Amino acid sequence: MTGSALIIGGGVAGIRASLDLAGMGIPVHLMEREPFLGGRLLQLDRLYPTDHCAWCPVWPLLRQVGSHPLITIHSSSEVHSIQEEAGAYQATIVHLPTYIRGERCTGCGECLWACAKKSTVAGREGPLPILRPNSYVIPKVFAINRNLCGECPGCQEECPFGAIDFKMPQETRLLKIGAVILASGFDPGRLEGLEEYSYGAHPDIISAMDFEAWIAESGPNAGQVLRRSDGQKVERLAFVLCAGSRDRRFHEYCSGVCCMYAVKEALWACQRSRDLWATIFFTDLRACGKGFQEYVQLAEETGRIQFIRSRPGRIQPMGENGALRVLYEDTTQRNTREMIVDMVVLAQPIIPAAGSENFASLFGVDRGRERFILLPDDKFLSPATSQSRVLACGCCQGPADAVQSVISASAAALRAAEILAQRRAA
Amino acid sequence: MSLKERIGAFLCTCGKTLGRSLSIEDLKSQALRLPGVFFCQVHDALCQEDGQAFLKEQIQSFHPDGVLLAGCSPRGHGALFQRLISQWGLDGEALEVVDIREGCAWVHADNPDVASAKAQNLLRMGWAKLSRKELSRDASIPLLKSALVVGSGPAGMAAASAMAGQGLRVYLVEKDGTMGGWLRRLSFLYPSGDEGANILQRLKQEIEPSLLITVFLEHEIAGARGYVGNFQVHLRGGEGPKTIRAGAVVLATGAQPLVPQGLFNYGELKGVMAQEELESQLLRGQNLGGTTAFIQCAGSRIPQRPYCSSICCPVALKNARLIRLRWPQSRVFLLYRDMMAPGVDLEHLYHQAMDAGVRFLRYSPEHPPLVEGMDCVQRVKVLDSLSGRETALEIDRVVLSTPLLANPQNAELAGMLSLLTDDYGFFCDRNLLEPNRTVTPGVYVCGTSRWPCSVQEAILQGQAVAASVAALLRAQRAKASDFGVLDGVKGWPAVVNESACSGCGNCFQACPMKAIGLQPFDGRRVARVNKVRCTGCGTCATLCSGGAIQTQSLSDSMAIKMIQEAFK
Repeated sequence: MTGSALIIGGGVAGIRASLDLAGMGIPVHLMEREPFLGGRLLQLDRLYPTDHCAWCPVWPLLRQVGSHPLITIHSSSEVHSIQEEAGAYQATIVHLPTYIRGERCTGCGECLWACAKKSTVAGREGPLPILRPNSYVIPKVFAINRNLCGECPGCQEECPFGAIDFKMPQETRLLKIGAVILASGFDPGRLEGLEEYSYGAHPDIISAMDFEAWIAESGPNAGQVLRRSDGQKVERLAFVLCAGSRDRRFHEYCSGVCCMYAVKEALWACQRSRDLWATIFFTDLRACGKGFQEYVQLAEETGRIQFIRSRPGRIQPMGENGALRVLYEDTTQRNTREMIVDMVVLAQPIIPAAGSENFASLFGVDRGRERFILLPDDKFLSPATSQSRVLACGCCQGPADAVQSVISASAAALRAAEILAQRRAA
Repeated sequence: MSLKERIGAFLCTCGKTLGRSLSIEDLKSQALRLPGVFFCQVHDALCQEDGQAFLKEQIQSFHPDGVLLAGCSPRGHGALFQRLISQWGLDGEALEVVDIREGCAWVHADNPDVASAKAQNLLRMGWAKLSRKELSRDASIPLLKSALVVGSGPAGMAAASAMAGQGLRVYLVEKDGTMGGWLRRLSFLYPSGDEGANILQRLKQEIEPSLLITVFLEHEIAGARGYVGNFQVHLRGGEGPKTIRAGAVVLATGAQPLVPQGLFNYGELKGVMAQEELESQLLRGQNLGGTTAFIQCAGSRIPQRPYCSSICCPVALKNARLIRLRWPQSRVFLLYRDMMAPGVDLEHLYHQAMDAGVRFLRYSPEHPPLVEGMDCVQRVKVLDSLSGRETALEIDRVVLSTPLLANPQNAELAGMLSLLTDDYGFFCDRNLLEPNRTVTPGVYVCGTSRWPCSVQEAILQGQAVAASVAALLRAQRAKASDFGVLDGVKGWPAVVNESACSGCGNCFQACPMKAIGLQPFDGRRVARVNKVRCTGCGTCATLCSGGAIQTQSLSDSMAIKMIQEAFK
């Protein structure tokens, strides 16, 4: 049916666009490479500037997506090829096997216990191969990561519903679609290239996304702020902004959201640990959205978060698991200093998600500065790419926070509805 | 209708796994001892296809009034079961799901006695709640296929043309004599560099020929009544008062820049101007050679106005660069605190301005720049916080970047439509992931009436709102219960026991949604609830001294009975 839309990416932008289009009566195919919808937002703990839990506002949206009769979810899926014919696309989508049959799984978790038991007996370490949806995630089906799985039939024997099938084939689906919305999101950029920051050389030099998960109440330390090296409480914490952004060696652009999430993480670290002092090394503190300045003020009022305008020149580990020495120039005092801290959080750049290159070339869409999907200037009045039937929203077209992502997603949905209506009229 | 007469109970064992930590037999006999429960069936997986078929067969053969279902958490399959039983002739509300999996068998896996006892308690509480539940009579409301847009700036125009494109009748209300709002006064737009007039022309071209859009110029909103799908909005101005009926209301009232009276000698020295005056000089093609200093944060990020107005840095970057490119002999300084240029395009604009030769000086709020001169501005003294040096710049003009202020009419509109505004008068959004919705169903907000934003962002927001409105008004009718506190979760309106109501008006005063009115009943006045506006928040119930007004999801009698059962 060429009257339907394909949405690539099941993060918050893709979800919003799907709901809006389905709400307007348009059948939607929502494609996500991971086994579950939700995207990056579900990896966060809190949202700035309200300090709202990052998950709660997503759940009602997920519930609606999961139960909407016009939305077909293709999780664990990738676009294989695209054929253009008569003003429409025929997309071949590959559904990668998850080895657990969705229609049979009840989420009882027996497979997970069986797997954990076998792994312990075998003395295996690291994450289990079975991926578990929490009770809010869509689809509510377990999945197996075959790269980690040893294929002992432990889980298969324990599953009361016969849902596990190691012979589950890769499935190919052909979709006819009239409009496409790219919402493939971002990946955190690599920090390894920044030699001066010694990322990877010391466990307490950590990326901001990892830090958020590390201190989350639902995380490994139940909300305590601990060093990764020795499990001791962190008392002196430093955030280094623009680690790889606004830097001609790596990415010239500003990643847009780091200033605010650094303030958020600093606030939460202080709230969770009374003895913690944080320093945020910034270049420009870009707090310009609704309620952002007030949020920064909140951080200042704690008296335990200081802001220093500087981009540190070097971070030196003092011994294998020792403290960290930060060498920096305080640009407003014009002197060089050093600071000894327990942990350093690096605000890594936001780069287009792996795979966005693939989508761009499949659909023949131009990419602009730094490989983000280009929204040409002459399309000022709509979120269209260089291909008129392909739209883009969220982080695949440039760094965006959750608010900006859902706004661009709704606007893209509207434009897609217009394109499909024109097709019907023709 | 109360449900206590015939209740059917179902226990789901989740593939017999729950039986390991709790006694299903005890739970079943407990269920059968509860008054009104006339059967109890155990199944291994009610969520599976055969389980659903079993559920259907049981319900259609025995016709229970209510269904008590113990199994996984209601957050798991609650919505599924609710949908299923409503397909099989029962009201979705006649279902109570009791969590014996996550909350009992799983968390108390190591202590089967505790797990079993808790499961039995929860089952009794679920029964208590279900048996006292009164089924609400849901109201069905018509949805008018029309929308009223307040304000014809870029956001309002984009919303209007996009909604008309979706087949909605649109009424666009503008207080001025012509459309366009602030877009009329802008020279070139960032980040694209388009001429403001071009964009305005293109927006107008989509509105003026449309048969679906009626524009009311020189009109204002005098009052509003009604609720989602059925608003009546009164207009004043033009040839006299009018009333428009609309299914949705879109607020795009815009904002206006602060006039920097008293700041940096504005109004005293010639040559000190606000950014928007520079915009009009650029529009008129006035000569802007010589030396220009831009001062950012003029009137914002200060204690009495702590917010950042978001757009002033990019606007100043754009204009500073423009002056340098048009008058290559000119000198341009930009005095800033933090350069707010987030993202790819704006950082690029910052680089372009640097490449064009704009010079940047960073000042701190403790040492704001001093603007000096006699009659005419002559120099600006600024302490550059990065070099530590004080510089005196000989200049021809000073451009003050002042913040956008919320439209003063917002407060009045907020009162009419039960909306919230923030400390500065901008409209509040419903939550972070619904930035263009308000707390009142059917009322949307976009553009600078929500928060300062660029023309491009305002247009995007207008289109985003249009998508929401088109989806909202697609059906002919809606159920009142569709408009609850959270999408996807039903709001249960409050109900009034008229004979117990004294008409004191406490609830009427307190209701944040303006859902309660006082109406004549049996020779006196009693409270009456508008089922669409009511979100079931329960504020009224806590204030009613006679217990005459109750929320249906958890009335006093339900809560008391549940507590009694819990401590039995």
